[in-house]
Amino acid sequence: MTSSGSGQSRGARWFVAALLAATAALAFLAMETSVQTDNYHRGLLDASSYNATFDYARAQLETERLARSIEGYAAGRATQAQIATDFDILRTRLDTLPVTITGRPFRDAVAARDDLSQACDEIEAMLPTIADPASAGHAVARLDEVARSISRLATVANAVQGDIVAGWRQRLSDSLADLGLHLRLLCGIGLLLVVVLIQQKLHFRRRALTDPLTGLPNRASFRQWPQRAVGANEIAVAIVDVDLFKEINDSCGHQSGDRLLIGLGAIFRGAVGRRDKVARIGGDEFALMFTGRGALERASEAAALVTRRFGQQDLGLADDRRPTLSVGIAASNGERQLEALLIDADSAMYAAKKAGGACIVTASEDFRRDLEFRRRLQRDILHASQRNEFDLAFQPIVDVGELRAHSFEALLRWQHPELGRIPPDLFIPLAEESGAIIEIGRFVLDRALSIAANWPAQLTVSVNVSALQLSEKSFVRMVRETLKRNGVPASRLILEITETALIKNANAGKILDDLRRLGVGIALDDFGTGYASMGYLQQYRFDKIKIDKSFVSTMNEEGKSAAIVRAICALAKEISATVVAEGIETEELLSLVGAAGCDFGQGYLFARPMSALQTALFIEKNGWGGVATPRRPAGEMAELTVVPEAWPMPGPAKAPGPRLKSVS
Amino acid sequence: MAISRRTFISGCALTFLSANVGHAAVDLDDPALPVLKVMRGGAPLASFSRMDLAAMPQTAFETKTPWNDGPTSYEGPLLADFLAHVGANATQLRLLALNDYLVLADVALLVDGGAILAIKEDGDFLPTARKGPVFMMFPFDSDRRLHSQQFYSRAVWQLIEIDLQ
Repeated sequence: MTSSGSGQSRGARWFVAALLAATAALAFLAMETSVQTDNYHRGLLDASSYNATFDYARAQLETERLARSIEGYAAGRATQAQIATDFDILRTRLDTLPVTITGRPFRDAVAARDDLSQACDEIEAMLPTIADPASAGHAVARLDEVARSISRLATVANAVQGDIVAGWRQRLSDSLADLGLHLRLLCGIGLLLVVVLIQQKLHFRRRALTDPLTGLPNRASFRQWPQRAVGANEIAVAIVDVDLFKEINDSCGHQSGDRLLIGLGAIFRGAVGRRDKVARIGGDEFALMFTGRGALERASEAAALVTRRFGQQDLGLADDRRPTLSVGIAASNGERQLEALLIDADSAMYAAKKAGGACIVTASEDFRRDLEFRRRLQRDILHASQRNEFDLAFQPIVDVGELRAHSFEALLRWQHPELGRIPPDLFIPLAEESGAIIEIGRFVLDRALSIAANWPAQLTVSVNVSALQLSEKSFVRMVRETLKRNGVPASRLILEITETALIKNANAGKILDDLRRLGVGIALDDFGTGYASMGYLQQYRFDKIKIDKSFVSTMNEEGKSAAIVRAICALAKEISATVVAEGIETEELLSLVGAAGCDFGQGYLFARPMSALQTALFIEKNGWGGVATPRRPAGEMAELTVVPEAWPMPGPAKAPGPRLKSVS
Repeated sequence: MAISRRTFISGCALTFLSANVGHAAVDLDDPALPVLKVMRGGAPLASFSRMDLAAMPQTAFETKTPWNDGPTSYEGPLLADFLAHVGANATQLRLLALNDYLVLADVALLVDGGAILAIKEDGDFLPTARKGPVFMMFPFDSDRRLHSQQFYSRAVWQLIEIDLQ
């Protein structure tokens, strides 16, 4: 399509060049013809400016008149004065008789003049004796002879001059005809040139606004939408993105991907009305705009139609997988600008993507509010660390056998000055999205170590590490420096890393090895929620495996969960890692995880996350030396509950339980 | 030539001074004798000798004409001056020559063409045998538009009568 387009424009270019050349050639020709016409015109004017024939006729008459005067004188009818006058008149002809016709010598005329001159001389000689009849007879005969020859000259000259004038006229009219033809051709070609240039311009403009692959309007055309949306009461826009397009390209080849997009383009054309607009705005991203009555309904219908038809496309994949679309829709009744709607629709599309694709999300009021809220958090989180809005809470990880705190997991808390406590489930993903998590991660590690530095040396501290942090080049150095700065031995730090973080980092193995070399312990966090691949357990060495609470909390309900926990514990023993069961909320669960072979437990049964101060008190209360165990009666533990948590826990309400369960 | 043309003419003039042949009543070659009659509607108004004409402001120019081989200089009063001198306004002139050549001409056309009543050619009074006594002449070389039958036909030689109309 592209090549044929450029071929077409190359053809047009040649055509234009040929037209231009023809125009130039014709213009040159026309100029030349014009000069020639001018010459011919002048020639004609010259040729017709003087009528020689008239002079010859007059000369003939004057010659004859002199003859008649001489005859009359002899007969007494004329005077000598009259002869003298007529002779003067005739002699004047010696000067005035034309001997050239239109600039060319006329031989007959020269001969006639010479004859006339000679005759005049003869007559002059005869004049004193003109009264003599013989002399008069001679003179008259001589004059009549001259008159005859001038008469013949007149008729010859008439034809000669006529021919010359006719020749000029013919040349002039031919030249004028040529000139007319050239001018008409010139005008015609000029007109054609203008038409071709206009067409070419339109063609280029159309091409500049068209996506060559799908034939749909392109991003440049899409940028003109705001002008077209002006004045529309109802506007709806949809952003459509092909799910897993990169994977389709990778696995089926780019040609298949292109075919898919071409097919999608055709589907779009069939799904939108004449008033509606569609454009390809990115590789696999399309935008639709609907204006006028029922815009949102039309957008939704079109989105549904496109999604359904697209699903029927055959990818030609072995596994019969069907392509899907993520669609975000936003609409307004005139109160919002198109640009804002496009942003909303884009966000809605991303929400659809996050939800796994094959999904149409309409940016409702709630959606937008939520989006705005998230954006605000993302903005605010950048300054939260400087403004001291972060703090850490610690939750003990307890030895299920001795019921003695063995370690504390540092948990990040954010107290927003206006919005209050923000749940980590909400802000951590936002911080990961914006990259703020790297800075926050440094803060958490530093703060956790500075607090843990004051704890008894047996206690370790667990700190969560996000995928983004792990991908940072200087991460290991940062950990080492932070440990050194806080004077905490590496052996007292456990970094909790999720399976996802490992997947996202190609060189995770090297980083984990470096950390281990440093002496830092590594825990596999939230095991069981992700891929839960046994492969990872084999590939990397972990000191701890933390079983996600979703498994632990259902151990008492489903036999399977218990079996899985048992299997994980057995596996952990094989690779000499210890197992931490998360979400221990009841004594029943505690005994279950104990029976399953877990070494440690973490959960409300022991303690909720506590502030640094509370943690210090907790450690002090429960004692931390040698053999002192935290097995205390519930009554004694009640002291701890007196100290209120600095902040209420986020997320779904969690029943406050005893901080540390006595199992005596 | 045994007898000069001039002697012959003078003789003729003396002999036939009272002859009733209209246009040849006087010796036209004498600059002092009236040669150019001015009429109005056929009635005589005035007569001018070439001395009279020479006394008026003179205009001279050199030009090529169809009747000369090379550039020739002509001298005489401007027609416009002459008509002003006569003091009669006219829109059209009837120009009559010795050889019965008669032509009508718009005054405006002649005046625009720069017509003079040439009485001298190359410094000498024009003899009757050479287009005298008066030759209505245009500066042909100064304007191409004068190269036309319209002006050539008004370049009257042997002019003897101007009838104002």
